[in-house]
Amino acid sequence: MRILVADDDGVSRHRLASTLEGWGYEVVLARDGDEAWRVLEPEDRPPLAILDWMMPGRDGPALCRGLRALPSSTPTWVILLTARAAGTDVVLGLGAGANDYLTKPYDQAELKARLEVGVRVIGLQRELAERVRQVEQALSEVKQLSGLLPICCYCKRIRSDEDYWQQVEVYVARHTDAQFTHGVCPTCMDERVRPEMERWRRSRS
Amino acid sequence: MSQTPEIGRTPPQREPLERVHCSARPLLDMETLVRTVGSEELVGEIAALFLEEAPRMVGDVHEALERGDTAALRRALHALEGAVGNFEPRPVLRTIRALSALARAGRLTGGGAAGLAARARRRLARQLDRLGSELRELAGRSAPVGREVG
Repeated sequence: MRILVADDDGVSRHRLASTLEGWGYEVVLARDGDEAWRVLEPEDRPPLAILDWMMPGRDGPALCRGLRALPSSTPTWVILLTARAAGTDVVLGLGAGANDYLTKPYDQAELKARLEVGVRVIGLQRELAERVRQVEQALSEVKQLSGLLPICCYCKRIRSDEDYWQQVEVYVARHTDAQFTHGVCPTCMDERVRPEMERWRRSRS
Repeated sequence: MSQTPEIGRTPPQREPLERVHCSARPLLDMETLVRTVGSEELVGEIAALFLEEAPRMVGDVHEALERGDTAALRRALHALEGAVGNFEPRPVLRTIRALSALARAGRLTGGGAAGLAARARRRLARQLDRLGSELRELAGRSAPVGREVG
């Protein structure tokens, strides 16, 4: 899984990159806030990001706000990693749109655990986005049948999008998962089938 | 800009020995460091990187102090704190935070404030010298850094 590490301190960047690569992540590095934004703004942005708070260019909270303003069905999971440990900073950071907050100096086991929370949430978001896509697709198919259908007043055939006149059951079968079994209703039995059988019997006698 | 100081190689005459309250205890706790960073090799790598980058960061701190530029000082101290924090030397971090608090309060000049800032600055220089020496030893134990960062 791709992860962005944005920190202007080379020592912290190297430590994080080596650790994350050791855990199997594909690391993208940024040395300042503007470089980080060039990675986060495009649609193929990494699903995970670890951002320092104070950096040249955009700072961590500004990156979070920018990221949250972008349309995305699977938003990037952001951890703010900073030396700012005051409660008000945590509130500010989370309020700007960070998902998690970790203070320096940090323990690598804690970072790993917090990243795994992010990975789990990303997995759930992707699953949810796929379900929504499937539901939307199903709904678009149902809409085809709830629209205006041109039907012949006499034979009851329906005109398809390709300008063919199809029997109702053929049309419905093509646009839904419904299948038909054939029978005769009591009204048609009285009004059509019995008179026709009577005519047939008379013609034989 | 003032001359960039070299971490761990400050000339001894800069600080009178009687002012140096260095305990025999090392600043770094290797066992904790390896546990929090992940491996001895990585500790050595980041120690080597720190020794490369710290003189510039310390130079930024000194320059901001000389200019009395509190905003630049806060930025420089924040950068130094971030880098130093990777090794968790608590006394050094305490001094950096004390200097940051003085900068935040704008108390770098005038009477007692100037004295406080100067003492914190001298303490930081001594502590960084000790940290530099300990990190030089750590960096020497591991393979040289061959990885391009950034």
